[in-house]
Amino acid sequence: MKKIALSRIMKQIIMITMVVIALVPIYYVFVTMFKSPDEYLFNKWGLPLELSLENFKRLMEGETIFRWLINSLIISGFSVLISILVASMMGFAIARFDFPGKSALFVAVTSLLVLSPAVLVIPLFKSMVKLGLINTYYSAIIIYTGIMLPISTYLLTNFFKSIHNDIIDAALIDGCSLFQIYYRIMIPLSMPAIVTAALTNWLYVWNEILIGLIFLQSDKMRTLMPGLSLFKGKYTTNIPLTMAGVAVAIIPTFVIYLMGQRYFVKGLTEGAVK
Amino acid sequence: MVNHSKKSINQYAGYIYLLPGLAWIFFVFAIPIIQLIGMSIRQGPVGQEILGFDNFIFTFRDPLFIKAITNNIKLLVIVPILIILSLIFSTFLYERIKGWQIYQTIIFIPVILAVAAMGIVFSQILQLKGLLNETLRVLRLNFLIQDWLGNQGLALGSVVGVIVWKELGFGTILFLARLMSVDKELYEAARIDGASGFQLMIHITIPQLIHIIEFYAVLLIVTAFSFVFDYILILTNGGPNNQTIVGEFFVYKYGFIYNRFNIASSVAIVYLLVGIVLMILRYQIVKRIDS
Amino acid sequence: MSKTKEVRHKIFFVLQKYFQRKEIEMKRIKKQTFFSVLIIIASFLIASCANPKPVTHVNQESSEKESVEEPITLTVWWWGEPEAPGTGKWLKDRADEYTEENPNVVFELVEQNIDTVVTAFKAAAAAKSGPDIAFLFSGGVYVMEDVWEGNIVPISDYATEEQMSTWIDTFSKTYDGKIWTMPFYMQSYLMMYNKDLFTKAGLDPENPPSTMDELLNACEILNRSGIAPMASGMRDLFQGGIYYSELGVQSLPDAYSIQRATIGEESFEDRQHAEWLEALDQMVKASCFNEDVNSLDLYSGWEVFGRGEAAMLQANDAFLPVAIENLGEENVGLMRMPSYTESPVSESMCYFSQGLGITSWSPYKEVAADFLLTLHAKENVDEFYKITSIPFANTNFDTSLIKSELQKEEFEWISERPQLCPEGLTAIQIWETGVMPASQAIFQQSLSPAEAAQLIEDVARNWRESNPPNFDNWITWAKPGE
Repeated sequence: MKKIALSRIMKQIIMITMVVIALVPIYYVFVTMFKSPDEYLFNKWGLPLELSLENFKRLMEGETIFRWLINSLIISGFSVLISILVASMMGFAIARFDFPGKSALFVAVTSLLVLSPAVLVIPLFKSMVKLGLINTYYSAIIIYTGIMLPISTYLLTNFFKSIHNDIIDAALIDGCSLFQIYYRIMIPLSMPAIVTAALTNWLYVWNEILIGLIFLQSDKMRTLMPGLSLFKGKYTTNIPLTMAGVAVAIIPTFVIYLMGQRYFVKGLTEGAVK
Repeated sequence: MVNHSKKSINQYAGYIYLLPGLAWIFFVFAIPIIQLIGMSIRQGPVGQEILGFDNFIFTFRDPLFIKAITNNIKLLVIVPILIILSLIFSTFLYERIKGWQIYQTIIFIPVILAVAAMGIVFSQILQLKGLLNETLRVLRLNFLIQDWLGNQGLALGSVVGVIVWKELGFGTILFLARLMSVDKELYEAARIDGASGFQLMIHITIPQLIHIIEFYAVLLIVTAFSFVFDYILILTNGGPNNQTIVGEFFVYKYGFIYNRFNIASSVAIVYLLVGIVLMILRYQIVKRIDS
Repeated sequence: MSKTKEVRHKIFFVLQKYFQRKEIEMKRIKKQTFFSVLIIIASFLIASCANPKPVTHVNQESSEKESVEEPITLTVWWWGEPEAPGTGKWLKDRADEYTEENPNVVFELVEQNIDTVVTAFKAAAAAKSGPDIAFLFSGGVYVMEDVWEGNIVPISDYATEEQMSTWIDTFSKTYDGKIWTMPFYMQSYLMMYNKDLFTKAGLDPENPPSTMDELLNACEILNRSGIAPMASGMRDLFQGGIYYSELGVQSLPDAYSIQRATIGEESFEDRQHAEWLEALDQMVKASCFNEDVNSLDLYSGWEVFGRGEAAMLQANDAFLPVAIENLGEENVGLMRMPSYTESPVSESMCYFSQGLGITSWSPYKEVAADFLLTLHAKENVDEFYKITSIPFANTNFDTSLIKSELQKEEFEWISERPQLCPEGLTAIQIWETGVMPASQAIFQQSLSPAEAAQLIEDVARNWRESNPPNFDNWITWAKPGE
């Protein structure tokens, strides 16, 4: 019994260390953003002496941060939605049908994962100019959706493969059409995989900078992270102001996570039939 | 039963489901890759003289490229580190240790934060006079004080540390979610047989999680190969003395800054080939595991 | 535009509805939602085809002159806020004034960040579609690559001799007898010292070290008093480039020497190219730098001086107002980088102007040029200084506006001394993967000066042998008059 208690204490110590390490950088952001540059000089790591919103006021000056936020929400939302839809269809085909070249296709699609998006920028820019889509949501959504396809397809195909044939056979006997099998059986049963893929996609699109900056050039079309990246170099010497910018960048996802956390973990666990 | 299903599903209907995905991949990947191949065998933009494989030969002769790909391979160390740590933490959480729900919420927070933003924070923390060293000083661990990002022997290791900090929560929650759907009786039966925690891990946890571990491993390999750009750009900018340059950084610099898009294209093609090899390997390994 | 807005509103509405419904009764309406999503996507894609393109000028009109009254949107990609805070406001005011006089011309001013000001332009150049006016860094190779690839047209085709005679730093923007970008605001490399700290350490605050020996001696004295001699941050690459500019030129026979080494007529291992690494090595060995020099980035390194923790700083003039504000004008002195050799170019100084160029694909080149030339009007030049405290690159600039004695001194230096900036005289690849890392290696003490020089030459050889584009132009550029 003593041994169990000891190991329990050990585990608590490990977990608490983990929590401290995970939270320190965030603590640093949230205490620094209220400080003035002068205060930061002598009080780097402590709590701010007063809660000054001066840095935020300066950040909001002339910048259309709210507009950027809306753009980010629209682009991330649609990219994730379409990417999951297209990937799940493709995954369904690869997991459930036999056709020549199937495994080659799967390998080809998934090996695109290793391709750095940076190299696609110039060829894609040319295509988008031809289509006249520069500075529109469509260009960013089409590109983000495409870039996210390999990882989503990979994840969903594997998950679809793990769903038992018996279920599908039963559905076929009940007279379900292929389409019904896809959206009534495959999709609901794959919720954990879909949630995982959606989350990975969301995080990538939300935080992406290079493509956002190049394809959405006008100030009205900018998304949040590329917009905030303009602060880079501008205020590098003013660390509290930089941290206020960092806070603006992370707060939206932070709020979404804290609100959706319960559903997210539920989505991951529930429906895992296998 | 199996025969029945094969008969009823019209195999050609599969193409309809493939169509949107293929169209998308054609537009976003295939057309650009064809252009990349075109550029990788030329000196300048498409239309200029064809050099053949010269760009590839130069690429492999360039010590900087060798450094970059070596660093990508070194970064693979995150795969075992993160899998082991995730397994440990997810097991702790699965055992419902006190406060597990709070831990679970907190451990995932680094995952959702932007690398570009947190990189700035870490470059402050890891300075010679930064928080990490100050903490070590207070703890009287002076012998551990290092110039984490400024020392060329340590910089890549520090980058690994930041990646682990960022990605640990994802693996932990993925594994935990899968563990929650594992039949509890498996564990209870094994415990009655007197299995130790370590044995439980080897004989039940890992086999039950093998598919999700595989997914996580692929995700991490991909991170190590082509999604470390943001970390490198902000934490070290490839330095000191080119010691932390990676493939994606190389491609970005050569393509956009050094006006060597043809070299960048050939590097991209090399990385794509590496990707194909990795995926074929994965395919074979999975086949073996499954059978 | 209103149509885009409408579509967006619709999408929003549908999305909102989708989520509301989902909350009320998820299961029953799964079928409908699935279809509605499909419909949204379909309508979305259809709309994308019908959507008007807001910015890019695909219609390349051949008749530029006759269409004076046609509505014109000039797109300007600019940068400069980090170096000259207020540039954005100044530029917007000028654009508004121009629109007032020419109501058919409106502006789309797009601020870039320090990374994408180059990246986005390269993408635009590859597609030959993008801004009408673009910010291009300084001169030399940062302009030449775009000249050689036909991305910009020379501004000198649109300006009179008289106008151009007032521009500062046209030399670095000249190729083939033409000036390719228009000088924008000025920048110069400056070395400053803290008089207060000099006094504290027992050094003469009016006579800063002028030779390398004196500097090394001063380092020792300052260190003894517990003061860091020079502030620097080497974690990113830029400070290394600045040291090359100030130390590297001292041993060069003439301005074209670096270009000759680039194309292989000289070697970066030759004494005149490698000597600066030895000087830097001596400075590192004599502990001339702040303790955390390797872990700070460029600006954080400068801040060490700004906080009064180091006695000297090699920076650029953008930091001078900061130093004056933090340390007090009476405590800051200007000095030259101490010299280690009797050099033929020792009187030269690195100053340059950033540039604005007209793109070759712009359908409104003349209008763009006309707008650019108005920026050099005297009142606009003076206004730029009033807003940003940074001089505009024009000799008509009213120096009496300068309040700070130090900045006056700087401007006198600029008007008296010959210009020489090595940055931009060699390929960016050699600069960023050779020169800058070599200086980092010296700071790390991981390479000897000779090995560091070899690193630069290796990179340069590699560059030369790998079929760099425009190599012929490089040769023409390096040997003027041949």
